[in-house]
Amino acid sequence: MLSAYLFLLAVMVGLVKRNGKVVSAISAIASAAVLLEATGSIPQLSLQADELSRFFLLLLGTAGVAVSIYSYSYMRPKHLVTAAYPLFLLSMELILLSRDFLQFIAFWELMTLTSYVLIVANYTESATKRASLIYLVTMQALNTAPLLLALGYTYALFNTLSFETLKGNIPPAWVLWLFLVGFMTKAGIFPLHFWLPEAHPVAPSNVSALLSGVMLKMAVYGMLRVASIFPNTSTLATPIIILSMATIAIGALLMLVQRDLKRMIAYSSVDNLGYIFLAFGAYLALHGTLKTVALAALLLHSFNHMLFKNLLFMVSGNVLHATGRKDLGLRGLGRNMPFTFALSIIGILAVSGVPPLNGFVSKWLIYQATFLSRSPVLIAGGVIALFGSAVTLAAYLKMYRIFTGEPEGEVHEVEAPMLVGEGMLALLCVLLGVFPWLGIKLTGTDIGFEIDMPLLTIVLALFSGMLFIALPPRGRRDAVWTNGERVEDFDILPEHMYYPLNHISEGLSKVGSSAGKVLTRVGGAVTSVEVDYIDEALFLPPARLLRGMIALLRECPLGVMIVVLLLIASALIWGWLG
Amino acid sequence: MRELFPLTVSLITPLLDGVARKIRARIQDRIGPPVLQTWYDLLSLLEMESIRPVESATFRIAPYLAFGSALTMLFLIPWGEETPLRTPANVIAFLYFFTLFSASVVMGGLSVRSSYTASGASREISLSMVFKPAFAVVIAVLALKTGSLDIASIARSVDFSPSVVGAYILLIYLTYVEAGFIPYDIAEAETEILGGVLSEYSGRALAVFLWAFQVKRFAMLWLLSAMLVLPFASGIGALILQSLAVLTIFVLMVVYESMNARYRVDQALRKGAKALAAGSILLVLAFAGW
Amino acid sequence: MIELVLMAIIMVYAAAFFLLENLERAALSLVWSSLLLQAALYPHVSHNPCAILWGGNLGLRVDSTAVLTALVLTALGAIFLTYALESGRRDSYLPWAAVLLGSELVVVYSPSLLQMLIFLELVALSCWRLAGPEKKAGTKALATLSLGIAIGVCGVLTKNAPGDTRFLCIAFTSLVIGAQFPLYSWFMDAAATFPASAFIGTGTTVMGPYLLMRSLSALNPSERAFAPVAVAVAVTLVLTGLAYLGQREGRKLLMYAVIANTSTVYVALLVILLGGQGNEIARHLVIISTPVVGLAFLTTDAIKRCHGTTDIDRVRGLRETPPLAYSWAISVFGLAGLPPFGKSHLLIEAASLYSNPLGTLLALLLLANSVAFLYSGIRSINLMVFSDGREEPLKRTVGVPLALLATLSFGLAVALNYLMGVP
Repeated sequence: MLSAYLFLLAVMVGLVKRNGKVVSAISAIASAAVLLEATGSIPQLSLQADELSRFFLLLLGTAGVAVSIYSYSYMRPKHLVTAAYPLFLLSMELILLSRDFLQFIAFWELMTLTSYVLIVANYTESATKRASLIYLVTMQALNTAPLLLALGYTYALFNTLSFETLKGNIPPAWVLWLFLVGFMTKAGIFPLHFWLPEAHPVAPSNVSALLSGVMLKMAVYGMLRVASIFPNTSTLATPIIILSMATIAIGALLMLVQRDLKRMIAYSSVDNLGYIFLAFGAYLALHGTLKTVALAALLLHSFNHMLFKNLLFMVSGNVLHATGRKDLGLRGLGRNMPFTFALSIIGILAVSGVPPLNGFVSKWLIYQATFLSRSPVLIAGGVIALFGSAVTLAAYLKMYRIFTGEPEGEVHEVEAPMLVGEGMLALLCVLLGVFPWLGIKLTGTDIGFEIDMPLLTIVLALFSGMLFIALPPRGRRDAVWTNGERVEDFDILPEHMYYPLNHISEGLSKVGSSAGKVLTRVGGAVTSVEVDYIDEALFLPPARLLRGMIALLRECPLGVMIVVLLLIASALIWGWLG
Repeated sequence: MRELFPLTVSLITPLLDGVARKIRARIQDRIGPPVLQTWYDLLSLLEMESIRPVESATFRIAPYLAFGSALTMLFLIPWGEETPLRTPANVIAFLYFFTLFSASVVMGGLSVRSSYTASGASREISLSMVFKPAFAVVIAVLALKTGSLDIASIARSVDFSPSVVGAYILLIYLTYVEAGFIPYDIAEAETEILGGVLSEYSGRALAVFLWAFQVKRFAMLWLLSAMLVLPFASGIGALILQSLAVLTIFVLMVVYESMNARYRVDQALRKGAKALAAGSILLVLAFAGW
Repeated sequence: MIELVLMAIIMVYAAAFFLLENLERAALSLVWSSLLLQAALYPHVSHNPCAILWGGNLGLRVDSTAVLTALVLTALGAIFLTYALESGRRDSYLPWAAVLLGSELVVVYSPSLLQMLIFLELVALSCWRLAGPEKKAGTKALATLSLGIAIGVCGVLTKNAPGDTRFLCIAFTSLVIGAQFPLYSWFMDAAATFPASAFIGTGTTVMGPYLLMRSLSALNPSERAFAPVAVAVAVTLVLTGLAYLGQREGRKLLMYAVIANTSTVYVALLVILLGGQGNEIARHLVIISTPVVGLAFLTTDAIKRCHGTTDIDRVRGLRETPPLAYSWAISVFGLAGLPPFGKSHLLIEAASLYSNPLGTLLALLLLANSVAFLYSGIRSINLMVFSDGREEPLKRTVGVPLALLATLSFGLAVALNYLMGVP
């Protein structure tokens, strides 16, 4: 529990000193302590946690270290942010360490609240206000409320909320549905994904990274926990698979038409959580080896998504930090920000599942779990997943484009700590891609076969490298070739890159926004209802009568007092006697 | 031994391109260049200096990475009895190394701010967004029918039910598309956008890229031939048959190619959408057990 | 022991006389020492509950629930009294605040329902004076409360009637005092001006449920009594939920939330009727939420002083005055039941609530109500706090009690969560 105390220390420092650097440093150390405790490398500090919690603690610790190092240079002390940041990390650690649902839900609510505080960091912008309203209300209505009801009913049924003693009990299906709705909302699964692309982009980038990379995984953890406790969770498999298919498709297609870098990355989170839930559906639906493969895929993709999504959000933070902009119309940043450029290439390739990076490994496992299942829905899910993967690359190429070309203005590379934090994750992206067994060992599953990534990577590197050495590039520098027109005038805008396909995405987003409009209109109708003194209206006649009587009595207020006091006195005497 | 096949083949691929040019010339009533012309072109390009429009490492590395990934694709397909690199679910790996190939081509092209490379890149990616899922549908049908994602074992255990036959036909179509034959050479489109993604590449870098494209084209054809031949043949005969099949398919495709003109990108995408729809019907058939 | 409690009560009543004589310092020190005295008694009393009866129905009963409730009431009363005096309000009604507080203490320490009702009438009388006898609000409060108490007295006196009927009569009194449906608007009117609002507001949220709790243990009603009370509470939850949504007036928003907050306590008490353990939860809720209620009233007053209004559309730039901004935010989150002011305990541990369809509906309504409030609350924060404006100078006499209450509510909530086993 050393890490928890360190986080508390950081909270105190954040409250009192409001110094972002100190808080980040302590948080980084605390996250490292989480890693140490979760791996059990120091027996005295080892935590009481099962394999599932341990895995997610590793995920949290890794993200915590990298993001906190990044925050050292990035975090600006604004209202409670410095205290909320370590408290957010702490709440997630404690969620993972909870051994019963009562603690779980308490820390869960704490996580929601602290994340709200972090999201409203830039509270002067109207987008932030809107997003924070949507976020907290959605969480309260569709996340906390269903979970509370589910847990209340579970407690009513089994008279316990401890994971240990609940195990093996069979709750009614609707309780499982409540759990599912609650966790789906947090994970941003269709149709409850709408808050995610609003809330994640407005937060400071280090927070967006944690929200996407870690907080969404808490929902995955929660679902896995529920699945590990209640044996009848497998009834949810088909709905989960179908919803996750829709999530992948919608996340991917909407990612394609975004003009804001962070919003695009947020939609990519929706997409990737779809993959994770698809694997979760497969895990629930399947038996035998494939079940293990699905579990490995689910856990590994959670971890991998944390790695590259944190990396990408932090890179978007670099861009924001350097230019003050986050639209995809930026150009030419690569020249002055070479490290950011290199890191973002790794992130882009990893999120697109390109070998030999980590995203490929977990997607590969997901395809195995789905395509080999012989179940129609799962195979359809696999097809959608492959489609999503192709679209992801397409969307992220827009992010790649902001770095290429000639610089437009003066920008500078960001401070070293930010790059170090990102570099750690990028390194892990490559390592877990080239040596998949590292990741699979981390998940603690035995999938029964080897993934020959090292060999594939060697082949790839060998031939690319050999050719590079045999025929090294040479030549001279010259201008871009055109027919005489100015390059800038005929540049293809990011939103026109995939114009033949845009109408699909635009249609989708139109449907989404009109659904939003309908909801807003309904909301407007509800909020315009004037509810005031219903009781006065209900009891108008007797109230009038009373008022009339009182008006009579009001002529002599002292008299009223005397009468009442006399009444009280007589009642007292009566009480004395009787 | 088995590792040598892909390497030797990568040397032969320019020759195949020479054959294609000869055939095309004959169909168009020309004499055409010698069969070795593509090799000559490559060699002379290799000697020329390249012009870099931008100081960018990705621009320089992209051709080599594309070549490496095209070659890796070759390593994942069975050569007769043997697959040079045995990995589980190698058809997925094949598909994703193809993605790496596309990614390096596109990222190389996009590292220059030029409307030609940018339009080439966006076309390439637009096509992949439609044809990749179509490919996925083929994989899905075959995986459903055979319970495997390994190319060799899929090919060995297919039964020729309607859905599988349909999947094969779709695979032939997709191979034709992904191999970049006219009318699907939209991303390069020499006559329209001057080579598209490749328009900023010259000299040695261009040679490496062109070579990589030829290797990739061969890899697609070789995959198809493996799928066609392996259900019927085994041993060394399979390898010979595969080679013959590749030649036949190649020649047929070249003949068909020379009778076509390039599609516009939206036309091609519409074709792709139709293919996808056909694939979905096949998938439903396969679910129904046909 | 009992004598000391009696002394604590008398000290509060005595403060009223000192206030009449304009001896504010003396009055304040009496109230504060009464608080200290009760606090000092708590450790002993919580283990040794005792009671004394003078005659049949009058006397004092001291147990841990009573002392805890009384402590909360006295603490808030002391803070508000200090605030009112320090901020220079020497109005004639202040002695009535002390009478109100003293009577509330007597109600809390009552051994019988009859004594409770009698002193509740005194509470009603003080409310009337506090809200201003010249205004409609005061008379409305007195009339409504007296009506409620009269029905309750009927319930107590008709000893031959069935237990459930008698219970329902007293439950009606309790609902009226707790500002629940069907009679809640007296509260909205009476608590319109500060500091009367604070005294009345914190009082009713405690008195109403407290009366119900005592009558539950005294009359042992059957499960049949559940439905009528539950319906009243459910309707209150719906009404307040609807009232939040279109609310443009910050003060009213918080006051409706206070009513809904009392409903939450009622729900916890109703659990007892369904055979569950609601006492603990209700006590927990009262102790956690009362300081927040106080904070809410204090904050609205402070905002009104600084900005001249509490209209959500007109108050701007609270963020320039951090104490106001934070106390508004804490009030909103606290009344919405976000951690550490969580209602989660109630919804989870009140297991027997789910055995009854109406109970499940109550749970749902509670959640829906808090969602609706959160929506309006965050909108108000967005409009009032996160907007541009200028800094308003905040007097120390306002700032200190604000900070004190905010810390108190936060600290109490965290400490109680810890004690209840939620670390």
